[in-house]
Amino acid sequence: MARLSTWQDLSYVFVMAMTLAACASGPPSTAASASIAAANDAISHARADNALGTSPQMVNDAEQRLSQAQAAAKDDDNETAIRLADEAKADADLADATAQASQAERAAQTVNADVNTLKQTTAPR
Amino acid sequence: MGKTALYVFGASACVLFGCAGTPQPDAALIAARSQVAAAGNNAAVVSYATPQLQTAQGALGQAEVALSDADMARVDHYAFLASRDAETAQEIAQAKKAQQVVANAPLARSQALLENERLEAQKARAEAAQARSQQGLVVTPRDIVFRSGSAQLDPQAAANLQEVAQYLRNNPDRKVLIEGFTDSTGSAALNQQLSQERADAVRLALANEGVDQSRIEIRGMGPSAPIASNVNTAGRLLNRRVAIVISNADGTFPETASGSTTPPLLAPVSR
Repeated sequence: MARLSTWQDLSYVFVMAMTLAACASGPPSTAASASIAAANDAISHARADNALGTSPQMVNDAEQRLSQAQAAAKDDDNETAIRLADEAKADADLADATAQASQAERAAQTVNADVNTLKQTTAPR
Repeated sequence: MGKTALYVFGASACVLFGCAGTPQPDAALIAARSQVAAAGNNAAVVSYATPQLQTAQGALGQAEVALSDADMARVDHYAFLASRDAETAQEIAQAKKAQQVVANAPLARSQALLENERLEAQKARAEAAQARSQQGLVVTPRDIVFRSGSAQLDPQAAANLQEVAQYLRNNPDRKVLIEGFTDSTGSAALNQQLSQERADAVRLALANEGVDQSRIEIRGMGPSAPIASNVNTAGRLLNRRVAIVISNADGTFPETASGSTTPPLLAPVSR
């Protein structure tokens, strides 16, 4: 009887504890997860476009912010997680765009040089 | 009295510097504003990176809202995003512009070829014109005719020689050969002398117009190389003439009317 009552008490405590735990440390909010996933994607894109070659510092910044965002999410600081993840994405987007611009610029220079050569070789002399 | 003055001072200070709720924008926001403005003023960004520009503008708007809420952490966050997005928009625009260059390469190539063909043709024309201008020419002025047996230029003919004289004054490297001709009436000796005198009359007229005598040669051709029939009056009138031969640029003379196989390069001067 006394023993059963102890189990009952314990289960109350457990339920209470779980409830409190849910309040204090639930899983990351959907918004934070989405931001983190988007930042992850952006970093992958940037790396795939060889952004490490054109703006390594920016890619590093993005990765650092992303891991800080993940840490914040783990600590249930969703607001911080979202901010950091969004900033990481902004870094990664810029690094990606810079890489694309530099690649396109090189291709354009090749074309221009090509056209100039053509102009010179066919120019009347 | 002193207290009122203090209130007034405080109120004006609020107006001047902005009081509660409207903190000054910090460096991050100021930078973001100018970067977003720069992106918005870049035509390439506006046409090639519209979504990125809009994102940047949206973030800047959020930063301004945060500023009015005096939430400086949020201001900095959105200012950061706005700056990055604006830069991203600039890079995207640059990338698209460069991609456009690559896409237009075939057009640029054919334009380059066309342009060179045009230049080639222009050059050929210029060379032909240059070659022509180097050549001398033979002019037989139709309005310089002589009465039968006379070597006298009429005043009208003398006036018309001014044009030739002017050309010679403007082109000091050219020399001039004047050939005199007669019709076929009369003796060969007389005609030879008469043709010489006709050429000399033109030489004198040119000299009077300021052409140095050393540049003028004359030759009597007699009745040779008629340009019209000698059996009628009209033809004989045409044959009593002079031919004015302008030298090539190097001072040599082109084929002349007397031994000519080439026709005159210019139509005879006539008025």
